[in-house]
Amino acid sequence: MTALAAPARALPARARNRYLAGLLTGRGLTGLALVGTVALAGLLAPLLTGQDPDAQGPLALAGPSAAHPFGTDDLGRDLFSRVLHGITTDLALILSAVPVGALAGCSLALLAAGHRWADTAVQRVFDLVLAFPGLILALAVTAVLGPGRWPVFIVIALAEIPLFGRQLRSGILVQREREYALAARVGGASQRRVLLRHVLPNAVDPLIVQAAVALSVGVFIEGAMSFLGLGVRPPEPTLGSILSQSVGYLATRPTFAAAPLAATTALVLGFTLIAEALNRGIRR
Amino acid sequence: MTASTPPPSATTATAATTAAATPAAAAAAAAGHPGAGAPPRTVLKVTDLTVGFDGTTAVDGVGFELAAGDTLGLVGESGSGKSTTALALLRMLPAGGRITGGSVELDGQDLAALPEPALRALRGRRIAMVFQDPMSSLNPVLTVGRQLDEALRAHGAHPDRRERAARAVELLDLVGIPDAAGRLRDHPHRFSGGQRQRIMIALALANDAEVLVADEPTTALDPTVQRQILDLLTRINRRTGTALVVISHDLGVIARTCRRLLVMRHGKVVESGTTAELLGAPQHPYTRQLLAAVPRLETPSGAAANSVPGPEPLLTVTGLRKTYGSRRRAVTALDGVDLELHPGETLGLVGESGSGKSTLARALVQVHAPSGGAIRFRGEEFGRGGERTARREVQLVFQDPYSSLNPRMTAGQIVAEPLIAHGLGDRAARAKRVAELLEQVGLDPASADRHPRAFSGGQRQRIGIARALAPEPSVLICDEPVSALDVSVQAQVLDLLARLQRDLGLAILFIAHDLAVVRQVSHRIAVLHGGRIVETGPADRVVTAPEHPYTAELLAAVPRLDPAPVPALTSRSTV
Repeated sequence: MTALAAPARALPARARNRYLAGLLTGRGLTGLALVGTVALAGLLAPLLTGQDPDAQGPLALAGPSAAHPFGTDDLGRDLFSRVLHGITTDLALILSAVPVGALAGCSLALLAAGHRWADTAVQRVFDLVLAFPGLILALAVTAVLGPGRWPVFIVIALAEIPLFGRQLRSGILVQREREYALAARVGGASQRRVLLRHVLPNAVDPLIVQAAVALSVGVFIEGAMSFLGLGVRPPEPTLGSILSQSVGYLATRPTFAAAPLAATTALVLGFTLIAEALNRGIRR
Repeated sequence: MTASTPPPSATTATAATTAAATPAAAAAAAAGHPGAGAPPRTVLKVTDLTVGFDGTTAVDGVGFELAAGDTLGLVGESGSGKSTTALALLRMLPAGGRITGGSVELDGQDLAALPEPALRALRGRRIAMVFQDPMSSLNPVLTVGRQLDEALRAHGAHPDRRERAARAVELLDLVGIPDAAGRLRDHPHRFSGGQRQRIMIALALANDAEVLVADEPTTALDPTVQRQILDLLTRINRRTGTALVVISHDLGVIARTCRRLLVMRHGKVVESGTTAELLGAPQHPYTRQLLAAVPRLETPSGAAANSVPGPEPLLTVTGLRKTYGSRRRAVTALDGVDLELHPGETLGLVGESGSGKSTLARALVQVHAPSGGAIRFRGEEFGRGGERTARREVQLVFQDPYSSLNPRMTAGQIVAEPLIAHGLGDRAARAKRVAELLEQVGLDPASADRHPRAFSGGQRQRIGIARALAPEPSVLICDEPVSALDVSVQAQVLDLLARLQRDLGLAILFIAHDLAVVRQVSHRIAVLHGGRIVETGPADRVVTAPEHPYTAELLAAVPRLDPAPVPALTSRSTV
């Protein structure tokens, strides 16, 4: 009871910026630096390289040189330009699909909180999505829509729905039993008001962490789908498709795979580190 | 007075008598602790102990000596550093805490400077600890026997499995678990809260520790169970000669168990001495203030002077029943409760945990529907129109001022919530009413935009009361409104409730387990036991001449401030 009084007094100043405090650790800064570097490189692609990512040249499978810093691919396209533009495509896909998935997942969780039957129904929907292994889901969606940007977008969003939904649902279940929620009910607040005004703001913390995890999962899904030829159609570059192309030449031209691999790894690692840093920040 | 150690002669005498008077202690001393013989020694010597948390000092230069077999109480309000002191003794401070100065010498060995592995070898073997919450301190997936076995094995004193099992039975027997041998295979959930605390004590005693540190050992327990646990601690101290350090916010608990007493405030020891001296003639103004704030059972009810109850009952409860769970395994929480609450009256409702107090409170504010019986508000039955007016006019004040306020909202928003929910006033009118309410409960209206964490426990409870008052209720249900607060703050909140009743003519249902507090504030007292009201009557009569045996039992369990219940102490000091 009394043991924690002293640290509790010191808490408020820190509590307000728990996310910031988490990010400003070595772990968080490393994550931010990794993601920031890759994202910046992608955004500045038109400035950094004058080369058209789709323009084929006579020089196929060349190693790194002054003209082509990362070398060229099997069709003689400049890899530097392709990787940079690939990053842009990847980030655009992920940053649009993850919020859509998060929003859908959270809406379903809120709907489930309203009624016992709704809860059962929503839970079964989540189970259904989770029951499909990611690749089967990807195959199914692509079989219907054909390869392209949309299937990748849909698969990423679909895969995130149950993750966000379950996270929020468990948060709501915990917070709803807290006394302040009961106090709001006794004070006359409607069920909706208790949920949206009192319970939800206290249940979002884990979702922020989940978002960072989801972004890294997004990079991973895009890579896997393009790798299997289910994703964005060539010649448009994505990190996954460049990797997929390079596999055939891994033994003879290892530099081909190096750049897309590094960018993908940096993104996944960066997002994971950020998630971990945020997680530690709010648990502090 | 500062952190002075008591005259060594007194402690010496006590230890000598303890060791000599009890054969068990002498045997234990001879077997396990050589040196604890005729010249009694100091087992624990704390000098100038200072503990810091990220720059703030939680414990500031605390010092005391503990002789073998002696009992010492550490008393103080929240934030006084008493629990931190206890944890620092075993160097088990929470993250961020660090011993920044001083020493903790156990038999001449400085625990504060010992490397961690060496310290681990001492914890549990020579100095052990019992925590506040017996519900969460035992591992729920392991049987009690297994946990005792592990404690015994941890220090390798008993290599033989059967020997350990025998010792485990002996320990459970010592702490008063009936059928000890048969219960070794039971999991913690099969034991009651009091029994779990007994098991915690058995665990702490597993390796014949010389010093047992008990941090608020009975705070989570009911008064009758509290008395049993305190008696157990005293008995163990006598039988095995284990020195006791008891930390509590409750002076009554300390008075019952400890021969010597340290009063702490803001991390410092403000006064120390024998319990009898300190309670009889406190020197430091803070000790005096603390003693004066402790509610005494002897104080007659002040409710009649405060307000006169109206003749017509406002809230009538008849035959109220509530069962939980499925039909086959139903648990009865309320078993036919009858109550009447008049305007301007305070009805005290006492009972131990599980008696149905909170279930009743929640039924009255319509958090759940009762399984049977009727509640009438202003003559109208719930379910036939009465519930609509009651929803606004019956409000609840919660026990825990920490969890009952939404941490994301400001004080002003929290108080305004019921106004919004009931559609009372527009934005400007609400802001005005919030300021008025905060003023009414003794808070600065300018603090409305601060978050709950910026307020102290007592201030938070005031916010909770302001919230309950917002929709202008005529009935206030207070569910243990002061049991989470320090005694000095308790008195202020009770004064506030009395003033509000006088000014607003509120009817108050005051639910609590502390009979002294209940007598002080109530016109009438109802005693709830096993989901039934076993006795109702004028407050003073129920306390002075209880009619039901259960009421008498409850009254007997209230820890008194005169240290007489520990009989050996007075005789000891004269030896």
